[in-house]
Amino acid sequence: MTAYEYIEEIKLRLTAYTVGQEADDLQLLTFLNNARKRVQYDTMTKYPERYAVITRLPIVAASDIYDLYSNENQANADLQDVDVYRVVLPINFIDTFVVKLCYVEEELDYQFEARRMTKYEMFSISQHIHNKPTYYNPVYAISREAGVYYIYFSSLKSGGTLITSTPELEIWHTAVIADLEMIDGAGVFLGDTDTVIAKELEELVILYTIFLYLQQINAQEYINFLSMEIQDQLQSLMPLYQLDKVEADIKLSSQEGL
Amino acid sequence: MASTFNSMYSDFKDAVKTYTEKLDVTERQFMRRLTRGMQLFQRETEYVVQASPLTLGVNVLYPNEYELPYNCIRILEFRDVNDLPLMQTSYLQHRSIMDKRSGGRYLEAPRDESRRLTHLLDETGLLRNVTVLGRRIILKPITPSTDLTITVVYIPDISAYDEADPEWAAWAVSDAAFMGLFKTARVAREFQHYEHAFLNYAIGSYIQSLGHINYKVYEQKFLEEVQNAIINKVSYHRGLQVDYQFGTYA
Repeated sequence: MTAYEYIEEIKLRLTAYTVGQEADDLQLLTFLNNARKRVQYDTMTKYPERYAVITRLPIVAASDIYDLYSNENQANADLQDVDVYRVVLPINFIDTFVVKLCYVEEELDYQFEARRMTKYEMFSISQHIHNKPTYYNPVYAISREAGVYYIYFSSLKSGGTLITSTPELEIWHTAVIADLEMIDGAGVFLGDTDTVIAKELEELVILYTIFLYLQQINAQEYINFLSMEIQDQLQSLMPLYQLDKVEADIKLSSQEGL
Repeated sequence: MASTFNSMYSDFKDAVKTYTEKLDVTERQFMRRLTRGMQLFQRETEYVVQASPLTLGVNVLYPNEYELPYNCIRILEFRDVNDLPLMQTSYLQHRSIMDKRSGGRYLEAPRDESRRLTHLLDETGLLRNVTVLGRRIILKPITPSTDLTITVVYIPDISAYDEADPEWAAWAVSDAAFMGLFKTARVAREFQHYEHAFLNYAIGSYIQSLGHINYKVYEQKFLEEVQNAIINKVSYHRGLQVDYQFGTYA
């Protein structure tokens, strides 16, 4: 659905509520974008993959290096060091599914999936002789410092030398959805068509927008009614979700919070 | 042909995905678990036998000593350069024979070694007994200086993957060298029929570290293969006749 279609629909619905107030398009657009984020928060715990994007971030080996863990237990001096690289994550980052180390070397495309670990494990695993991170078995941890998300990633060396000059991280992550008809920080118009919110959740977006609008004009008599309707909509998603969950519980969960 | 370690690692991942989504076993850790299985297999079955020439006076205190190979579990026999067997004796017996020949200190024993101890001399007059001290040092009388090299036939131990181990030196050069060998190398030909037993051990030990009781299944499969190997291995036993190794100078 486009923002235009959303607003048409919302205006149509608002006629049912005899509020007698004017609703201009930009105001409704603001509420619409907020409503879309609320729908994301309500449904992301159940269906995180719907809000996933794939981002490629270059690692600059010289400047992104954060720390070096030396492992004195390692017999071979060439294998003693584990370098840790720190890469800034995009501002809309929420959480990862998959992180891969990618590089091209001699026209071969290499990709190695990194294992996520807790931050406690980050140092101790580098001190392990057999399980320590390598370029073909990398690890990562995520941290938020001073308002910036970082991914800590290791390692890119083999026998003390860099495996490649152009490593990249490919991150499959959940992201905050972008606003419709907005211009982002880089001055790019983000478009009119909603490509993120799924079709069956559009009704929920519309209800939330009307809810926010009615809150703004303080139409208490309708707000309670709308809250109930929103709850109904959310609960109607539950049976489907629970079916999915039964399947997911067969396997052990590796979910780990930030 | 035996599978590459890489294929066995894929089998490993295939088996353990029932138990974990988050595989924290790197290729090195897998090699460690797999070769630990090989080590236990060899210790239980004594499946392969190794022969090594020993050089006189290396890493030892006295010039008439040899050092046993570091991976020796059990000695089968010693041979000299002429492929003649050397008799293993206890240390006291060894000293007794040596000293009798060099003048005689044991007055209670007969001193006429030409009659009583001829079987300890070969046709060239060399003494033919050796003794093993502390599972490490071999003593042998050296006369004359041409009789230097002896061969030991023994049950070797298998080294579990360890980057400081000389047997794994080629693997521990770098990560890239490790991966190159990991993708191409296989278990030794002698062991190739039992590679699945080692794999079962690796899977079982990993599942055990996850705290899952199903490791028993894999452990049982490993032990069954060990029993099969003991039954099927090439042995010195033929038609219920045991080794002819109980007699003197056998």
